[in-house]
Amino acid sequence: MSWVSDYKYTWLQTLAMNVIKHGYRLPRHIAFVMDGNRRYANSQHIRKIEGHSKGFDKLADCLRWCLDIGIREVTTFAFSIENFKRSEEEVTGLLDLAREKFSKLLLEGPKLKEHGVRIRVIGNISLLPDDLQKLISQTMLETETNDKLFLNVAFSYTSRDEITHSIEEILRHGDGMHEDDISERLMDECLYSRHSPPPDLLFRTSGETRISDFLMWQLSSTVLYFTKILWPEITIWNFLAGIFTYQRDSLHMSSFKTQERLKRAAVSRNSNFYAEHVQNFLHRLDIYRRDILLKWSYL
Amino acid sequence: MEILVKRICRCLWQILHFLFSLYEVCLWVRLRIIAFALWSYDLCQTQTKRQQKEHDFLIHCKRQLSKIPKHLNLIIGPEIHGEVNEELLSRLFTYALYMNIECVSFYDTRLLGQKAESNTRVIDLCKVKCPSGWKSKNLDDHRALWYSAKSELSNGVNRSNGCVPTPLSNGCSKATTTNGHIATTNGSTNESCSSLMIYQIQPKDNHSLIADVCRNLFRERHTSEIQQLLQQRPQLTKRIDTDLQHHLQAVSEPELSIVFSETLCTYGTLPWHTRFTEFQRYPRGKYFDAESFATILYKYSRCEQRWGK
Repeated sequence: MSWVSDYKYTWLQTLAMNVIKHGYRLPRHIAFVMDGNRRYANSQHIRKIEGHSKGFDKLADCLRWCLDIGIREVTTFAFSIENFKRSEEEVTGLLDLAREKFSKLLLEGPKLKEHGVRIRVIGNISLLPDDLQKLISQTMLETETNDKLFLNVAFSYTSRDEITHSIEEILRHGDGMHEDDISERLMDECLYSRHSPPPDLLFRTSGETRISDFLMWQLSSTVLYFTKILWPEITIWNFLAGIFTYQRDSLHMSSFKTQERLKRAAVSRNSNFYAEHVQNFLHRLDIYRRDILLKWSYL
Repeated sequence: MEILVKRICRCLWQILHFLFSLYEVCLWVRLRIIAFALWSYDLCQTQTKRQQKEHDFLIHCKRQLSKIPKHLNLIIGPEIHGEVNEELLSRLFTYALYMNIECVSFYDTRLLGQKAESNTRVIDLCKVKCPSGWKSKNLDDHRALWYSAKSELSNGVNRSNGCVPTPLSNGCSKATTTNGHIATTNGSTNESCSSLMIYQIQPKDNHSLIADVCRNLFRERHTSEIQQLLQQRPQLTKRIDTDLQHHLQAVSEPELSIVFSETLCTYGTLPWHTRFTEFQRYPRGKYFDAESFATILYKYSRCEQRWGK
């Protein structure tokens, strides 16, 4: 399967994987900022798009490691809305690469079902060309019943756009709701990443120490792990180092996470989050979003 | 057999964890010894002499930096007890003044778990003292302005009436293109912006504030203005940004954030504003002095923002 590689482990890697897997609590959800493809291409004297292609191959390895170690949800930052500012040649190349990969995915439907991989694309898909919208919506619909590994691909995404979109959904479809029903808890449920828990670990390569407008809303109790390695050069050891850091850090984070959970419960209670009219609104929103996917898939 | 393998693996993980913890303890002890030595050395000097020395050192460093943040953010983790206190912040704000940083905001996450009977200390802004030659004015419970006593004499109208500096007048403008201002080549402090705005971020300034903005827009959703905004998402984003700016009163996007915690985490600090912020974790136990502040700024100065390009 092209999206999940057939990685062959050495005995030492198998041992290390098992130590990390059984040692302590694993992150349920991990987010990757796959940075450094172009710098890798420059260092190897290859074209930028080949660097991105190598980066995709590495993502396939990472997904295999996640699947084998027992991480159920992965979110990757594939393409930012800000990336539309890049040269026309590079943007076209990246969109072509996405076309190629999503087309392959559609051909691999039975294998995805066997592995239980559900693909969700989060982002402002309406900014993409029609054919890509169609491919993306078909992929999402094809895999919507799978429930073992969730792969969220942030494509044409920025966090500000996501928060604005969440507010927009409430303003557009919120008839029947009261202003007191609006809270951060409701906004959580109107994000692109609705139905996903917040990431436990954010893994960014290439030595940058910023988040670059990725899942800003969701990162309140996420462990940030920045490593200097370029994304196409990432190895299983870098991956395991990130997980080990998370495991150790989560020991310090447990009380903060408990507070966050309590706060979230209090907000839900005070803002009528579980009231019937609010739940109806969220149900309507789900139907509306699925209808849009259906419309795009028949383009 | 499977259970045995799991047990062995768990045991190996515990050994690994122990070794790393041991290494961290050794590192912490080393940092505390250095901190004690530095603290003793500082104690031997008069406050004025120390301040002058730190000022000269930072001015020298400023000449070598390609950029300096306009807005510096501090995040104090929940497990940090007495280590980050008013005394440390006072020192840090003073360094920020020397470096012409225009705004420092801080988020004390210990506020979240504070209980009446608890011993957890949170920062009291009123107790943060400014250096000699500068004056402090508390604009409200969570904001203070430090300004030069000299500038009060020369243009006392602006500074002494306690008016809130606007983004333009105080220079805490939105960093959309440069992510930090360029250090002056001669390194001299620019008296025209010799003030420091200090803002204590409250838990309600984070996600809740965005929800408040959403609630206000919802109230007006049937007006033609909001209906027009709904047609164009970038316009709606701009409106949300303006509303948040209004609520936060001139606190712009921080370019640099120093996280005082065991764990590198945002703790939910200003999710709208920290999208391009550079995060640096400050190790626990390390003495905070002018040199460590300069090291952080050097590291920041080397960061290059690409703005998606």
